Amino acid sequence: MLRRILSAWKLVTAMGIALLLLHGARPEHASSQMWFVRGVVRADELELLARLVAAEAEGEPYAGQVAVAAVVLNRVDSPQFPNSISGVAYQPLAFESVSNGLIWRRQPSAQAYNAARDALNGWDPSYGSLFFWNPSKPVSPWIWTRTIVVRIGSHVFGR
Amino acid sequence: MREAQQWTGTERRWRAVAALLSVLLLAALVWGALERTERVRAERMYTAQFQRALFELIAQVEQTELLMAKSLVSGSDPRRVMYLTDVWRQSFGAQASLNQLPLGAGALMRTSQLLTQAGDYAYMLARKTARGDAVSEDDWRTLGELQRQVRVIAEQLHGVLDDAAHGAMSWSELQRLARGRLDDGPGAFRDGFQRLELQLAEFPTLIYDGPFSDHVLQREPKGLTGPDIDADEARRIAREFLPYDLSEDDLTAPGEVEGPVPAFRVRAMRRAGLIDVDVSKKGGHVVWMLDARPVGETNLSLDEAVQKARQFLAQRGLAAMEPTWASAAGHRAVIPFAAVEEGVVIYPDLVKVTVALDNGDIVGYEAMGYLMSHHDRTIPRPALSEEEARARVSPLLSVGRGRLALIPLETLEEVLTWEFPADLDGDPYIIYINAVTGDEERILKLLQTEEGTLVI
Repeated sequence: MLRRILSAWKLVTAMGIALLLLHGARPEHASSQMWFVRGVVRADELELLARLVAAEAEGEPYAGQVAVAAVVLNRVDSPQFPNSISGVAYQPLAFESVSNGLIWRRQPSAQAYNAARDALNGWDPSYGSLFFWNPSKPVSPWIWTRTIVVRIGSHVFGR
Repeated sequence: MREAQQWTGTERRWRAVAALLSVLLLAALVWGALERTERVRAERMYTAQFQRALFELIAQVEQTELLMAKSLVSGSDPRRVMYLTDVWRQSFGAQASLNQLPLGAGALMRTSQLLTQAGDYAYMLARKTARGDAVSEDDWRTLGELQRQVRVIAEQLHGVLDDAAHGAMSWSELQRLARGRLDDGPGAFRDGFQRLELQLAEFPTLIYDGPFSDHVLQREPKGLTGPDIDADEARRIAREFLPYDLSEDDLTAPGEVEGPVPAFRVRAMRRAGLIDVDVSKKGGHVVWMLDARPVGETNLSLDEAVQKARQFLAQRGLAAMEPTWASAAGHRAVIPFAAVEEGVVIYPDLVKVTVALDNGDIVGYEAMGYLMSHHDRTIPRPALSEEEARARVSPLLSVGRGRLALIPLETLEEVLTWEFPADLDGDPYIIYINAVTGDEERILKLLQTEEGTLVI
């Protein structure tokens, strides 16, 4: 692991390449999507996001899993929702799997971690959606007032 | 009534069973009562959390409004900056408290947005004032507008509290809301917030230069050029894009996307896994690609992965791009590439490639950044030379060789800068000096973590 970090760093300095990741933390006042790259992430953020993906999108196509993670990040970036991944995940009544503890009971698969990483690196198959839901499950009628952007697997994504 | 000794054997057995059952019943009732007490206590505890959030929210909203008023009437610039910075701090706190209330998805969006925009706007004015830039009449008027809206929030919140104090709304409603039973029963609390959302929706949208301004949130893709295509064309483009030998039948166009970039979703079935590709309707550009194939081991070095990625891009007409970073996790390497024009690195025009480290396959591609920003640019000439820019970097740092880079600000404005890798006592940094004004535009700090190097 250390060798990989050192070789990555060597690669970077040897090629004179500058690292351009901007962590989406609030005090810098910029959204994580504003300036492309994140590259690597904080372990706690990745963990929470991967758990949410595993609990909410188990069995969904990979693009659907990345989209679910992207919705969480889109909420972080939006002024209409909390400003951190934990804020969004723990917002009361936002995610069933958080309030019933499912995110801690299920161990995320390697695919869930990859989906979380891809979303943190900027992949967004939901194109900025702030909501996702399963149309065949009972949901509050309000959510159908949202504009639907795309359907992936059993989820519909909207803004 | 017969004497106890006169009971027959059977009767004695039945009495024993009845006694046992009564004991069990009593035990069950006691257990039930204890459980209920526990539950009620737990419920009271978390309802108390919501009450706390509500009271904090009210305090923070009032502070926000007060500080906005003071910053509008203050005659001293340094004080103004302080008030405005405090507005930012209080309003973000208010937004955080607001989002802790149990009102369900979407019930607080407009209020949340207003609080964030108010803080953001105040921050922008604070920065302008601190830099000595001119703050116009319009700027102050907008702040006044925002203050009016914040006052609406304060009034509505007081209304909610008054109802609670006079018994029109009981705290048990909060408990009910917390349990997720949004539509049961009377809801003075919920209704109060609904009224607030509707009132705020009456105000016009806000245009200003900040990351949460509406024009930034709803921007149009600049790089989406070309004629419209249809679903068949999209399948053909996806087939040519993917680095595999696929027949027509392997690809389906299972869906359409109606978002900021309308697109066709093409799906390719391979034995190894499913690949999804989005192709834009306008111009037939590939927006992103995701290959779900599991990657089990690492056989390539990062250098080799970067080469594979370069090759992939060059074969698709994107040769003038430089890798900016390479990080490996989960046996995959993510490498973002930025366009290079006239020797200047154009960071907004960004394309990312994911390389599978087991065999070098390209398993991911993402070009939203590029499609949003790429356009014909006239790159300005730098007014400062590398040496002059280097002189602007803090003398505490030891600075390496610089190069020119175009970076985006939060307002989406692009500025030409000199980019310097720097170091202080072994801590690496990157400093961006505006190549026209000499201002320090941005500082990035590099942190080594398990997943690679994090830049903040």
